[in-house]
Amino acid sequence: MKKILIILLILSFNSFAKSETLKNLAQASNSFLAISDLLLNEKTKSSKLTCQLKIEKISPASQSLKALIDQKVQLLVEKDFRIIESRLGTCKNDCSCDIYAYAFKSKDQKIANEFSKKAETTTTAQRLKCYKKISSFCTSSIYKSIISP
Amino acid sequence: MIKKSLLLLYILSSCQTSKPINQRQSASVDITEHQVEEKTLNAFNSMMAAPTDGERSRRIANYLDRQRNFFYIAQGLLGQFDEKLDQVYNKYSNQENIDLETASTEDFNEFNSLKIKNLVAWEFSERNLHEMLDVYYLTLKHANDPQSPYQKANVWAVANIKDWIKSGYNSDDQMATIVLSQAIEKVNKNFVAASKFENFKQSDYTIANLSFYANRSDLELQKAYKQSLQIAKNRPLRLIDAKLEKEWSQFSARAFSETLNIRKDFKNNLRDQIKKINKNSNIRTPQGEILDELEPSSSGKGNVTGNRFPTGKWAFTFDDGPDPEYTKGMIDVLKKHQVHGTFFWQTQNLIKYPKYSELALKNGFHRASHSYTHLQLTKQNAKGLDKEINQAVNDFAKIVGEKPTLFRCPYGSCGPNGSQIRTMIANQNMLHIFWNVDTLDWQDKNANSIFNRSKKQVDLLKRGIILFHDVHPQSVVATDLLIAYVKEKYKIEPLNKLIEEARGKAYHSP
Repeated sequence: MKKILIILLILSFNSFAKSETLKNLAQASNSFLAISDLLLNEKTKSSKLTCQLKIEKISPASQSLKALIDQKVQLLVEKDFRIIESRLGTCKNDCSCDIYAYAFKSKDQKIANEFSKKAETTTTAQRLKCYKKISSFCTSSIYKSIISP
Repeated sequence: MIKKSLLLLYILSSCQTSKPINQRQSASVDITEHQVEEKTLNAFNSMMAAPTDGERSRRIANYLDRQRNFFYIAQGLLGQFDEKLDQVYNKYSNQENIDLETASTEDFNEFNSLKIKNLVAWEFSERNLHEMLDVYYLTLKHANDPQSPYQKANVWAVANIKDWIKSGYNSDDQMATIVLSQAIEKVNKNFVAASKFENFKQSDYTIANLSFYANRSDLELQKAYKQSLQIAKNRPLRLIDAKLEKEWSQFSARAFSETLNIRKDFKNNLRDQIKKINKNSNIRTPQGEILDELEPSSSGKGNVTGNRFPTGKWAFTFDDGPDPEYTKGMIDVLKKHQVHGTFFWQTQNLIKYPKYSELALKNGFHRASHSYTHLQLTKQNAKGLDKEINQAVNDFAKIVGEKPTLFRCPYGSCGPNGSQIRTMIANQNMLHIFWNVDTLDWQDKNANSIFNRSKKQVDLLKRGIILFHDVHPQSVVATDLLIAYVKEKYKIEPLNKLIEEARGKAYHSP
């Protein structure tokens, strides 16, 4: 029974990258960056915004997220890339340009550079603003899968 | 017994742990150019402001005397804590079957309380030692500088040092005096090495030669240690004890919340550690021997996070390359700042771009392995692991000329201690290298924000391993900014050198 549960758990984690959109993963990436900045800011008092995380949990979370994003990028087909490319004009609104640039790095360097240019100027304040727009990140399935995969 | 307590401390604490009395501060003064704290420099200048050479010399002697008294107290306290830790430890080591669930609560709390006190005493000892060494170094500089208006006063001060040490050895704490003598000898050595008077022989310098006190036999060290404990036991309480007590209570309050987290580790580790410890050892074990535990292994002793590196020292590491666009840029940044970096490369990229191996070698940078294709190792079967680890290092060796000795698991994911992944890495004679500062550079394109985030972590931790990637443009810019910042406040060293310092013996990396 225990073995079956473990297999189910592994399968569910494997399929997570398939079910989550790159946009969601990009927003999660921005959220962790924003949380990291909040945790490193001495003035931050609210633990609600930081999901009560400790700073040492950010790196493992970032690495788990990177694994998910790498898996997702492997699964993207031409059509997906075209959809992502069309977000060049709007990616700044949800601070997702960084991850789109990351996704395009091995696909099309020129487009990756365009996304990079958009992302290069994203400030800490903008990241926080984007993060605050997402409701209930700390209780989301993506957050849970990253924090305790 | 001391070995046991130190080993436990090391295992359970990521902070600076208790060190053996005769090794305690040696690593931190082993530098080519002694760096003097601004506060001490000001104190020294005020000593030199005295109207006569005699008064200047007396002020130096008084200053050193005061700091030495504090240092002796702290050293004594460290010894006492070690004894107490042994008592806690012995309760467990004498039992055949340890019931950690029911027996450890009280002792665990005592253990943590002792650990905290030990850390505070260590910090106190370190602070006072360094203040003395700073003043001694400045004294050496002036005593050996014919242009200095204070040369005479400082020559007198240096001449008095030997008597000062002799009196400490004969009538006070012998063990602490030996530690102090060893530290002063290192300052002497570094001073001569860094001095501009290249035509001088060592015998031409005005230095306090303390080799007699610094190089005692093992038997004398044991005797001195016992004497040191006796003195500490009989020492009357002074104002400084009240101050330390206050610091402990504040420290305890802060650490209490973390106690619950490490309790679990304590239970998990204790049983294993007891088995490993040599029961016959009853002398204070040199730090090098304790940290010998750092060896290629599938257990925790094969892990390097940087948390145990000497305070103030950092290693820069770069993952995922070589990359045809950015690896060279990264190498150029390191060259520009004249600092070292270690590259954890994927073998698939190394095969595509082998010239970067030569370039890194030419500049003295180390090359290490980051798997074959960066697959998540915890999801691979035996065949996959064989490729990602064994084949990765074999093909790495074909290009680099030798196998790597450092391995970093993709996504930092090596599985639990004893896992097949860790066993395979250990069988290839490699350490698992992690990090304690994650720059998050792969997910953030803004180099300034990467820099700001990283420098805060650096200032928070004060030592360790910094993780960057040599495959992104923003990483090159952020590395440039961070190196400039870290160089100002800390030292940047080769990763394998810091591993050597932590384990007390050589560790080669190609």
